[in-house]
Amino acid sequence: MPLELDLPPFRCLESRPEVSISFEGRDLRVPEGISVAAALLLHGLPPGRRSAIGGAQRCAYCLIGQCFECTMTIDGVPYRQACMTTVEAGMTVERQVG
Amino acid sequence: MSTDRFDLAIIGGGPAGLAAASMAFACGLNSVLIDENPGLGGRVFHGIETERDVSILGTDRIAATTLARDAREAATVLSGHSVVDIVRDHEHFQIKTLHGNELRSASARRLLIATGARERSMAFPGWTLPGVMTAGGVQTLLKGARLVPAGPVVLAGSGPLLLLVAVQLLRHDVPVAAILDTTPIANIRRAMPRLAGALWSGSVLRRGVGLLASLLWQRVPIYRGVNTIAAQGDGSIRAVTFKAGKRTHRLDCALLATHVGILPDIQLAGLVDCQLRWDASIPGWTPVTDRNGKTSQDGVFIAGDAAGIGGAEAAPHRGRIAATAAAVELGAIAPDEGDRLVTLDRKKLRRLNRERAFLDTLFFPSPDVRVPQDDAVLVCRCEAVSAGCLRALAAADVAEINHVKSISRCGMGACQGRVCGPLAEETLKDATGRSAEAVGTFRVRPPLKPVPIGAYAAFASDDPPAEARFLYTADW
Ligand SMILES: Cc1cc2nc3c(=O)[nH]c(=O)nc-3n(C[C@H](O)[C@@H](O)[C@H](O)COP(=O)(O)OP(=O)(O)OC[C@H]3O[C@@H](n4cnc5c(N)ncnc54)[C@H](O)[C@@H]3O)c2cc1C
Ligand code: FES
Repeated sequence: MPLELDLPPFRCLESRPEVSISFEGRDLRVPEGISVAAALLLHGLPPGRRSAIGGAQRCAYCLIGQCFECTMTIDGVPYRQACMTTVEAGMTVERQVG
Repeated sequence: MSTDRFDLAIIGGGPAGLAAASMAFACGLNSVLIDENPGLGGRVFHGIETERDVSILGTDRIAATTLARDAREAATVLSGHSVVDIVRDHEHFQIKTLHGNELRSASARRLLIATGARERSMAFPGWTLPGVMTAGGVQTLLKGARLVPAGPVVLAGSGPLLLLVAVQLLRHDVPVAAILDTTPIANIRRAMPRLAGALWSGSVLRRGVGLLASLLWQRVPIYRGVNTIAAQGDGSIRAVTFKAGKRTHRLDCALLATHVGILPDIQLAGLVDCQLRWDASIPGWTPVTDRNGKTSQDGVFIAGDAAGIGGAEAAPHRGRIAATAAAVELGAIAPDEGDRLVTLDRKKLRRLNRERAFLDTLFFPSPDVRVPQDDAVLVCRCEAVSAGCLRALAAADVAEINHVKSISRCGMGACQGRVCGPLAEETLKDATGRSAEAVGTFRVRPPLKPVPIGAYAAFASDDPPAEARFLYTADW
């Protein structure tokens, strides 16, 4: 899938120890303890599914576990909510159609 | 699988649940406090346990730190556990939680639902574009991950949270391009008679005035009487267009944060079949409770914003009252002892209600915010069902919402109608002129979140009475 990476990256106000996660084969360094959704936003990547109807790229909308726009395949398990999942070293994150 | 047994299960670790946990402990109950976030605090105090520098937090966040610490001592805390199903098993409630990819279970004799509120959504052209978020969501990123957007940010909608988020972003040097205020001008006139009663009863109003002053001082443009909002952009949002009065405007932005008030989270109340009523003052569906938070279902109590919007200041009082009532029911304390314990909480609540009445009137959402105006706008983001589709069904006399769901798939996606429910209800009411009761609300079905098949299999092999409905198939 092509990456449409045109969200202006968020910025983190604190410096925290970092961990590495992998997003569709790219290594990302991210602050520990934050959610997968926050980690992707920090890198200008939209944490979200691709709509099964029409294929549009969606992005985390509510960030409190209600909207399910942020569902991704995390460590091989589909339909995980990126906004409710905390990053862990070595975690793999992929977009899913759903 | 061994199931832990408790007297009371409190679901939700916001101020209501935290205060309930401490009160339950004081009454001698053995309770479990379950919350799906990694830490306690709920929405208002999200991230409170990992906040670095407590001294800069301000008094209410310091008080909340204490509330969370006390709750951890008072109850068994299950953080990172989402409640996905509850079934009654004789005298107990069996509560199933999803923790990462694993299903767990706990059982309790009484249930206290303190799951708070969720934001009402505003649907407009382009609202599914990356870069359109809820204001509460943007704030959650700030409180939890300490993340702020690049900006320029435009905030659109109505209500105290909108102003609060604007000021919080400015405090961290995020450029705020404008605030688009959708509050109907007529609301101000309607709310005025309630102003005097509200002024000294709570802190939201006073803080609101402070926030407004801060925005004016920093010269953030505020457009009033805004309607016809649209997000523009291809891959993600680039600009927002809107009408204020007769003029059309266009503002460049990198993020559009919307907020049009909050609604009680009725997911768990619906799951355990508590009776709901239409509360025209919010407007929205609210569980029916007595003054102690006791619902129509035996053994089920609800406290905090999940029992009807009362705000963060009221939530701990409501939590204490409900926990005490549960303790009385369980025979842990005598009824007159229960009454004595919560006298002050009741008094405080009566005062706070006056402020709530003012806020509800002032920020009552206008019809064009509740009902998507443009037929092409998606109501259901999961299944891509448009407002036009719902209106076509309404024209064919299909307007009971569960009937509409089965035909259109609106509300059948993973969010189970949490986002589209209120939008679909309002669209159907508007199109047919029917009452909220006639249109109804989505029935809640377990599991509340997609449960990986593997988790179900692992759970079932330990725990023989497996329920087939736990498989997540058709609807997802
Ligand atoms: C995004 C958002 C931000 C807000 N920010 C503010 C603010 O800054 N200031 C303010 O005054 N008010 C704010 N509010 C309003 C809020 O409703 C407060 O009034 C207050 O947090 C309510 O307290 P509560 O204890 O009733 O519930 P909450 O604080 O909402 O806590 C409920 C908790 O229950 C958990 N929960 C829900 N469902 C489940 C489940 N199935 N399984 C496990 N856990 C579950 C939630 O994750 C949450 O942590 C906000 C509301 C929202 C939606
Ligand atoms: S962003 Fe809404 S569920 Fe994750």
